[in-house]
Amino acid sequence: MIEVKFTLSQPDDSYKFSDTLLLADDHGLTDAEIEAMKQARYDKWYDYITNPPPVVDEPIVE
Amino acid sequence: MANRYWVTGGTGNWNSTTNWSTASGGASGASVPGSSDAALFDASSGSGTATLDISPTIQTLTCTGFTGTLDFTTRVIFLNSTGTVFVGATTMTVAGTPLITLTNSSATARTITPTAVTETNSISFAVNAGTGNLTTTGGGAVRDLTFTGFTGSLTSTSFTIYGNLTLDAGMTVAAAATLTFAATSGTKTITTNSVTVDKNLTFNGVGGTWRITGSLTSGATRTTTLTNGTLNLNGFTFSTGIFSTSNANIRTLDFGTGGGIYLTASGNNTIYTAADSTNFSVAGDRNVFVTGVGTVGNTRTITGGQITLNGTAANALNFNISAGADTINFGTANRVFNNIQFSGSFSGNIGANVAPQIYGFFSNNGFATITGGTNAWTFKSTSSTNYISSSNAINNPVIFDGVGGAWQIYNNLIVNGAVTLTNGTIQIADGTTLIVESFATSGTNQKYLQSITPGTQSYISDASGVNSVSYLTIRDIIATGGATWNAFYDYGNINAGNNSGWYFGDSPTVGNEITMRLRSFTQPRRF
Repeated sequence: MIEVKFTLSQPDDSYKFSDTLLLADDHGLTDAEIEAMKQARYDKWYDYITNPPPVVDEPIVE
Repeated sequence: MANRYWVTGGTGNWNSTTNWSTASGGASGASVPGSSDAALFDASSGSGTATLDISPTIQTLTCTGFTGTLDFTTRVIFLNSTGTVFVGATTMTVAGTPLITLTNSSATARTITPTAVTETNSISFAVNAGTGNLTTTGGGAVRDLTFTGFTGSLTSTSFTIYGNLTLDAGMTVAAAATLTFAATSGTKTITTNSVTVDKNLTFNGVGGTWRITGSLTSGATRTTTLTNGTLNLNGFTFSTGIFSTSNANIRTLDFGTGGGIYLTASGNNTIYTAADSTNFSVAGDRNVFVTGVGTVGNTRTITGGQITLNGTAANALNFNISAGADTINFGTANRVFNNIQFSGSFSGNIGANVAPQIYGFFSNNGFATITGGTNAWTFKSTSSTNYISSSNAINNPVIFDGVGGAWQIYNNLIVNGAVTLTNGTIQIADGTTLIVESFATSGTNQKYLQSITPGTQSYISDASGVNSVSYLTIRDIIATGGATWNAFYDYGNINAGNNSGWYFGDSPTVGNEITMRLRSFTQPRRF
């Protein structure tokens, strides 16, 4: 397993996000694909905390 | 599917027909449960030890009422079915390295009911396949919970994890309930693979440590509570609605380097509290980013540690409030903060009459209107040089009180209240003005009022009245505005040069005394 730690932020250095990608030793991904994965993680997080989805607790079936 | 009941009264191996029956409490001799069978332990199974001498694959495992021991040794039980695949029991004991792996790869839902077992008797679960829901019910507890190759959803009532949590990047976690991490020893890891865990999170294990291995994100309406143990953010980003750690238990919040906590709650909420900071330790960057979009009329309260409840410089956090149009309340009791910064799109105000104790810097240039009040803000740094940069007037009294501390005041600063220097050094940026309602000193420690650059003057201004200081060394300061500025030598003041507007002579008391003595000396003697 390869850990790829990264930090991305907005252009003004706000909303800094530090995360890690866990990749298989033989992941076969290109650098561009890895960068796209980082950006996707950032975009998902940024969208989630700046535009929180409506809160709907899912019913749990006992 | 055939049922196989454990019926031995004593210790026995799993892979032995002498221990299995087709009926509860029935005659032994049935075949060992296989991949098409359900294994059941119940009250008729005795109180002996069932030892795994193989790693069996069965459909389901039920332990309701079992009072014996299930010794996993180093073996694994594979459950290949759907529906309720596991029911545990608080009456049973487990030994070895307990691990159950769920292998069904269908989209059909599965349920495990681990029951509220103790840490010692908890079992690890690994989910290696499947695209349907996995539900934990019964408020139970597990040891490790590991998802790999699972792309379904974890839906659950509140439950407890005593070990590690690992999520698969392709799965989801349903929004609901509370997840409690309760290990009491060792370091447990939380690996989310960026999967949102929209649940309340509680860390509560005396002596436990939890380290996140990547970002951890819960929702804006969720509360994270650190009750006992150490939460190590490991330099990663942790997002939650509210963070609470107000108690007297031994606990540590270790930020590591480069990450931070994002508090995303809006509405009327206490978004952070460490009011009782007894036995609360902080390590690392200690940066908290307040990003919830509060709306006009609402109040978000940030409750630093109360000084009387062991709030100190060592456990004060940095807060950067960058969104919202609401009121930010720092509390009227004396609560500790390290840095306080307003930035981004924040356009609200700071609540009335707050009394923050600030160990770091304060920055607020055009963001928060400071409502003000009679409670004082206290700047308490005792070591490094911090700054105060606020284009918005501080409408409270301000006290500078940190032995060895220094504060650089950037830009012009208006304090619509009394400013008191008790300990430390105030440095007013070159050419700028500190405008006060009054200025005084307190105590007999030598204090300093100066510009930042020696030889370049700055200003202190007060419109009226008399400002008399003591034990103050003044350099490069022009006192102005209309008030009288007394810095009498006999009050311990020192003119360090390049000042104007100050009266550095002897105080009237000393002056009168000298005059009287001179008159006495010059009176003609009468014979």
